[in-house]
Amino acid sequence: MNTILLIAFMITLLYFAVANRMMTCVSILVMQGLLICGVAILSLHEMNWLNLGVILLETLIVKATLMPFFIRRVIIKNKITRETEPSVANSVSLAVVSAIVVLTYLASHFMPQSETLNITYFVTALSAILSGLYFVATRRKVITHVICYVIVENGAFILSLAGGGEMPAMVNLGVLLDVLVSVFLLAIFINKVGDVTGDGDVSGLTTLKD
Amino acid sequence: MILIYLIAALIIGTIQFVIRNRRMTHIVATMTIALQWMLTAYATFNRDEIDLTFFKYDGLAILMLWALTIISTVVMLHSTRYIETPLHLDLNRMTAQYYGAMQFLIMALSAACLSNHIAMTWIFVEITTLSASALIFYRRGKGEIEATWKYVFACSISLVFVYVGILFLTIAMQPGMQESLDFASLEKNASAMDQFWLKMAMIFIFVGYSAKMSLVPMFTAGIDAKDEAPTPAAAMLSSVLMNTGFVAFYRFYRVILCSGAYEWGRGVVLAVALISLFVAAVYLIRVHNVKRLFAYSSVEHMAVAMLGLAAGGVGVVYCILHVVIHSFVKSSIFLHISNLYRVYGTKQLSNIGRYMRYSWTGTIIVILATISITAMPPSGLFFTELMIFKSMIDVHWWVWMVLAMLLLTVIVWAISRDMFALIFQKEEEPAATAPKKIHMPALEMAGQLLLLFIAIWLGIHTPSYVLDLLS
Repeated sequence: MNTILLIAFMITLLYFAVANRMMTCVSILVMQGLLICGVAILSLHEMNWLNLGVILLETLIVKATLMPFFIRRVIIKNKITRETEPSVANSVSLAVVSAIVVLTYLASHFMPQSETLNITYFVTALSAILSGLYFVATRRKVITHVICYVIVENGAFILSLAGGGEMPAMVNLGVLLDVLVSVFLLAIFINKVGDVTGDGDVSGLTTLKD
Repeated sequence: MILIYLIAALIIGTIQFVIRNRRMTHIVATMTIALQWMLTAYATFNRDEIDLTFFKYDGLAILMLWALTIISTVVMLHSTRYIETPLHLDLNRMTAQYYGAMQFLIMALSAACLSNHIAMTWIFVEITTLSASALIFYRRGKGEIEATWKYVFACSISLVFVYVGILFLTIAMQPGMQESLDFASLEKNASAMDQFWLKMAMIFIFVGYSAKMSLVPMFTAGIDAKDEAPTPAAAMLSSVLMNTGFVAFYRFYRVILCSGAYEWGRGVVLAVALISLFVAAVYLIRVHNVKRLFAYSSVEHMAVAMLGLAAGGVGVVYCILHVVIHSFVKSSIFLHISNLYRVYGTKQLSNIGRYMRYSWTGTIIVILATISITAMPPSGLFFTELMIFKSMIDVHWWVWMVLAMLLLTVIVWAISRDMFALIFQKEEEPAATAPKKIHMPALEMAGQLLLLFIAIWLGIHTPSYVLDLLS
């Protein structure tokens, strides 16, 4: 079951590569949050119930609800509908993300095996991190950058689940990362950036040069 | 003590955010400094004591704490005048936010230096991002928003990189070891760790902390932040914040030293140091803004420190001393830039010149600062660079040393060219407002000279106590 959820997560990455509409990107984030919640339930069932409860609440409330909600609000407020002028064609992005997934899978077989590492988690997590960074590099809008960043963060969270419940402290750190970043990117700043750049195009933020 | 410190700092920071009376704000700000001196004194007299499980007053932490306390005291003195500069905005609210953010920044920097647990260090280093971004955002212009956005975004990415690095580190550990992530246990277990995952951990952690250390590849966000932040805040970002990033990485690097990945690790550090020096040299030649000039100079000095760290032996001791001395020099320079701005009303190098005409005392400080930052004798940085190069000779890194020296020659030429043009030459093109003579307050001048004096003194005659802390 875990493997199915993780494969579904990887499919969301491919879907994101071809998504043009901002609301589709937000829906993908919601889907990823729910999938991570499912993976967490199945991976951490041996963890004490209080800790598990906090993690599940965090994945459901922060990842699947609050972050998409704030991003959606910013999109509506700034009337952003489409990711205009993508610097790379969607078909190329799809090929790149597919290559990332395949190469990560192949690379995982050349890495030394560890008792504490589940390879499926590792491949999914690294694919999400690398794809997220690729999306950051190829998208122009500030708000898309935030969405891409959340994908990178989701990848890191999946990696923390790779060891099951053996390292609860690391999973909790992942939760903390989510909360810190929610404050950094959403609650404090994203509204201000939208106000300055109008349509949220990051190409407007290029005045600081040498 | 650390618990009392953290609670008191949180209370003071919160009070600062809440009160909207500027006089009260300044009074509460003195409490920030008093609290900082109390922690430093306590750490000094309780060396090697473990506090609250996750914190330890070891030599490196005490040294960095002293640097932080002295620099933040001078920065707070400067802030008093800086904050009074009219901005046609809600000054009471901005003053409150400025001092509140400064309190949280100082608290996070102190706690990160004292932390002896890799996850705890990560948490406090990242709290510095939050408080630093509030300071960068102070004036709320378009440039500030752009700088803050880039800083927050780059630091958030770096935050994930360090987190992934820590996860790889736990994978590298044998089952049963994973509950102990304090640096002492990590060093003890380093030789038993899986070398592949340890190397992966180092790459991610190094890349992550490079945003705070102003090194390749994540140095760009720091440059924009130092350019747009208020000068007292920029003084903090280019000195003690870099020190904290260095401490966070150095403590992890000691784990690499104790493992079989040592040779590989020092190779990575050497490569990053040389690339950073190259990048600094290229940008310093073509930079047009005095704040960015010194921001790139920070890249250079951290790269030089990394050369010592990679070389090992005596180079490690002088690497740490180099980082500390650099923080005194650089904070003094950034604090003086606010004086330059008062004279010329611009940061553009082409619009500033003949500084001698407008401020004699300022000219003396600029000359001293230029000598110090270019590592000319009697600058403390001259002695540390000399010892770092000696450590490179000890390991027969002749080619790398010659390459580093060539790049440093270019950097010294670029900084000297711009600084001497600032003092003696006529402006290339007039600024929008005519330059005006200013009277530099004695207290501000004393603060800047004190920092430069400490930087010279630490190099010429390093006190035995400091050497003891470094050992």
